[in-house]
Amino acid sequence: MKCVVFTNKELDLEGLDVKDIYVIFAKGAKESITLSDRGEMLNLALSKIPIIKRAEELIEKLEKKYNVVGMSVVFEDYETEINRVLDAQKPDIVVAGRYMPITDKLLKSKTTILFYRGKVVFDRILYVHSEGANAEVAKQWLKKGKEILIVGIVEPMMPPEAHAKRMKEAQEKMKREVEELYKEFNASKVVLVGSIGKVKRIAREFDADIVILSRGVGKEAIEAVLENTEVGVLVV
Amino acid sequence: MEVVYWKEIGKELGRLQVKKESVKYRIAPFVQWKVLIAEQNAEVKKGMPAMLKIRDVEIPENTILAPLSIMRHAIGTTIDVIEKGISRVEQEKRITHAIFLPVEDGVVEKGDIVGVLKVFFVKTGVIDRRFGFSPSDFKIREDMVTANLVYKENGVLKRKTIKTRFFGYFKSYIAEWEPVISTENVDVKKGDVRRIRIKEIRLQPNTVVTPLHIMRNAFGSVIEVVQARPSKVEEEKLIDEAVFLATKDGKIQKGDLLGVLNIYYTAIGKFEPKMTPKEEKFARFVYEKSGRIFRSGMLLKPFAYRRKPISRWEPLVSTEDLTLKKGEVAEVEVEPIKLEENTIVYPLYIMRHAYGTVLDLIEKEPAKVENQKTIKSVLFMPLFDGEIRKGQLLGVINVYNVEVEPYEVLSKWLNEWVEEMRRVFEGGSK
Repeated sequence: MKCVVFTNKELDLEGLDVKDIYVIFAKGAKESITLSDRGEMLNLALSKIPIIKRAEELIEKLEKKYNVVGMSVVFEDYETEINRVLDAQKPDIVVAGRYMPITDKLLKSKTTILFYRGKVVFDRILYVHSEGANAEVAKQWLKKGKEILIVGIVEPMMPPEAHAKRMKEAQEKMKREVEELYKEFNASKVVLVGSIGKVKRIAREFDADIVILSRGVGKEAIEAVLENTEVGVLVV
Repeated sequence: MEVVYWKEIGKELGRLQVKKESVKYRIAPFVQWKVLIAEQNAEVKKGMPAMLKIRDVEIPENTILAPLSIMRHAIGTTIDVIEKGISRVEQEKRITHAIFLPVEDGVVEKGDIVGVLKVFFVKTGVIDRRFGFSPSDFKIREDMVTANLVYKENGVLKRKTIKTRFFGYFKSYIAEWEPVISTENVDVKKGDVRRIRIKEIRLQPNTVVTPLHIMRNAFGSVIEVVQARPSKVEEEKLIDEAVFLATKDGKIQKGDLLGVLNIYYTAIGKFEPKMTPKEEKFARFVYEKSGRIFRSGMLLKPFAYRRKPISRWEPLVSTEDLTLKKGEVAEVEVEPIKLEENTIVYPLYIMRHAYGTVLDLIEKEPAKVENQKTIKSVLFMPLFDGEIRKGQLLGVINVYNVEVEPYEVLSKWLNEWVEEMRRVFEGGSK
């Protein structure tokens, strides 16, 4: 598996079957106005050399475990670099080891995104299924799970009375898809009508190691889940 | 002036009319490296420039390129590169080919390292030039790939597979000059590209070199230098040969000055640059006057200089029509370029004329760096059969202002810089 890691520190990626890694070492650097040539050099050196040194140290550690295929060091404009690397490297997964903007290009791609929070463990998976989900990719990850809870979320439609028929159809479709996954993975299941905000409580009660989200839930929902959970979030 | 470039290399030419102008820019003290790796096997012939397809190299916007000197392949050196299409300094660039000048017959194999580029970050706008660089102006990108380091050991060609990993370094603006002096008598013929044994030059760790341009010998130009065995920038190096391109028939004699090396101090790896005491060196200066060759012996005092971060580009525009034959080096007259006292020049990398590249500048009787000079002709290496027309751009040179001082001053400059850099290296991050 080819992985792009967006980070400024070492990550434990043991739980992933990573072979090739491209590192985007992202670290904001302090900006200041230059008053002299000497000041410019010192300012640049002070802000860049420690970062480059840390990036090199990280690469040396990663090289012991993986095939490191490349690296970028970025001080700002993370979105441009993420999009460029996505085109150039065509990774299977992008791992966000620190705050990472979710670019439109990344969301529209088929690349899996992992928002890393400590070890990558798949023992107890909470999978949030949604309309337009990439079920085949989701299944590849669900295979790793020991206990799985599948949550089908149907967003309420407004006003309810005007969309009763469509709402019912969406619920039934969701039930069917969840049922299929339930049978395949011998999982627990629940279909909810409501907002993504419920995931927080469910994840806590289920004691999930990781939340797998269908990218069909959209960028805002992904961000909401990230804000409200403490475990790793995998977007498929 | 007219810019002639390849829309599709070797097949379709493009032409552009652009205004000729000198452009000022600010150059950053941070330099990145990009390794050039052959993409396919190529049989090459001594002295005949070869256009090698290389793995595409992406170059960020607002950058200029130069070679990391010291021959990187046992059978030749890269003298320039070709980009896809045509771009401005301010734009991203994609380098697709290297122009390789072989010093012997042989085969460049797919995966061989044929050169290393230095990528300098620059700013061209008036306000940007004034306020300088901030950290976010740099995009550091490196693809790490396996490639062959090709070198010779006891005359035997060796290939060692390494994983490339070149991040870059901070350079000081502090440098010194080292004369390149022949230690053998050699007959040369116009167009010869050959190794000449030279008085050993021992380079301190953390130094990079580049030949001082403007031909220093009436018979030709030092294109490259060769070290006894491969080493890293952060290690000590021993230079014992020069790659010399002869521009006319003649004799190189033991003790002749072939050229001069600029030696720059850099901050990289285990940061311990140091300088060693230097003595005057005797060399014979070989120059042409009224069609005759003169030799004049002199004691060369060691000098140091400090480069200013503001520089300028000067376009080299032909004043004559000339028919070119691939591999036959030509002297081409150009619109005169006046260089003020205390300036040094380097040709800007990336081939600027479809048919070839400018290797050096010619001054019949080279003046000291400290003196004013006017450049009226250049040394042009054709990569294709073709022609140059009056008014066409042949290349671009970087003109740097320098502050020249006796060698003893280098110690003071270097110590100040080393102390500052050491504090940065050993100190914490911001």
